Amino acid sequence: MTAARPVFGGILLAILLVGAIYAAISPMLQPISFPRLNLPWLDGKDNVARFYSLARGANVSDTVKSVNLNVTMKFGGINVLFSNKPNIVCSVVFQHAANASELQANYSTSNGGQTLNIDLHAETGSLNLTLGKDYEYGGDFDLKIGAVMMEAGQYSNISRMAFSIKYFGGVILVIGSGAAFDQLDAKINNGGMQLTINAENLKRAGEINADISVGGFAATVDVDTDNIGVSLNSTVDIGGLTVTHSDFHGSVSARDCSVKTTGYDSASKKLDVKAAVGLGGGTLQKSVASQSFGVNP
Amino acid sequence: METSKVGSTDSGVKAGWSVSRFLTRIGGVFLAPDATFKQIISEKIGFWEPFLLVLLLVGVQIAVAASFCFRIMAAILDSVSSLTGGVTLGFLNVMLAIMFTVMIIGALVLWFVVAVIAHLIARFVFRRKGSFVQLMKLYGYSIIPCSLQILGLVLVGMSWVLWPFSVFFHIVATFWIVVLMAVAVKHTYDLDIGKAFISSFIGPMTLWLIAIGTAWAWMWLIMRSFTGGIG
Repeated sequence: MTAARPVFGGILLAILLVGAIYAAISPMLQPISFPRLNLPWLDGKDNVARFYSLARGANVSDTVKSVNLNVTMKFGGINVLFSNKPNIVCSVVFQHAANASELQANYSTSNGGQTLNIDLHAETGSLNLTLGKDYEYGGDFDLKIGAVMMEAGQYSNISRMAFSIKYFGGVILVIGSGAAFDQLDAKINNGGMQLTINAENLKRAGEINADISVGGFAATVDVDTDNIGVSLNSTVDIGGLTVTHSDFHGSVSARDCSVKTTGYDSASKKLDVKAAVGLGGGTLQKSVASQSFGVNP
Repeated sequence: METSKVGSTDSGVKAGWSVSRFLTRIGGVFLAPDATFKQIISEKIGFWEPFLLVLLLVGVQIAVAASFCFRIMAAILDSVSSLTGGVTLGFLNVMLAIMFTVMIIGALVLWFVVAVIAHLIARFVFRRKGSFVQLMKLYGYSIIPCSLQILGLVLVGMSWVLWPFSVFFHIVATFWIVVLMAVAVKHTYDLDIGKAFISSFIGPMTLWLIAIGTAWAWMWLIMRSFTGGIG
């Protein structure tokens, strides 16, 4: 029995050594795998694309001056672009899983044929809207979960657009040179908003309002301050604000800020941004690179 | 030169002899705890050996468990990568490192606490004299059966179908640790095995149950205050 003790001790030490080696190599040599969760609208396979188009002369009369969009979606992404293609009023590409429901699209006219009302409703998928340069656009975009992206550049002409994310998601707005809009509103319950203003000039003064319950607001501004005066008024209930932009001056604290670009008062066009964040944070900084997405006109 | 050769050979023999005695102690704790604990007390083994043994045993055990958790988490993240976009596992490494550190510290604290409880019971309930540090040392050796638990974890990690072996090893190791702790108290305070068992197991378990019961009662009272005394 006495002779067995060192042998048994050696065995116990060997077990320790095996355990240490096993702990080190088992994640690499013996990975565990579970069945992959495939969501039909995310994996890209078996996707179906539907195309809808409204064009002047084809299915839109010459009396139409403005377009009112009413877009609702439960889960997915909405991408809005402005194009200089002639006669285009609204071009829609809707991608969805083969087993998901189709886009419900309707349109009508009002205001003596001067306003075209377009209703789009989808369950899940990716909705790409291309709007024209000859009409004034307005409308509401309601999404339950997902993201809305809009790039407003030289072909944009917007009266008022409102973006709403009910449960979770984000809004990305890119304002480029020559953009024309009166008011852009974003209401996000959980998520964030990224605002990129990268412009030399604007066609007219505009206003952007963001209301975020839980999440963040990030703005990057790179403008010619002689032509465009940008102001930011922001509050955060619980969280913090950071302003790191040399072109902006004003009062900044951890919970609120009121800043304007140098020469705001004398700038020919003004862009006023208001952002209210409940729980989360806000940042303002100079953009480091121009951002672009989607299809260029 | 000749002297140097003899000296190095001599030190080599001494080192081999020390390793052999160390292995004999470890094996002896398992096979003949009574005789081995007596020998450890008479040889006045230092505190470092049991301390390093505890660190090694607990560290390897937690490392095996952590690697198993890592594999499970990696598999879960891979299966839902269509939703998450295939996030990296960098943050998991931090979590596992924190878990590893906290559990090692927790094991050392538990080692100290159970020894304190046993010491207080033996000293003040059964009125016997004994060294607390000596008890800590023997308690350190008493967790050597944890190596069986490590073996069980490795087996179940290699194949799910080996889980009965893992359960068997865990049960055997737990019972054997309880027995070894009682023997440790017996030799440190010169108690009979029944009183040593009360000091090493019944006492700490009773205090543990009282603490858990108090915590549950406290939580129940808090919940009751939230519901305005309903229920």
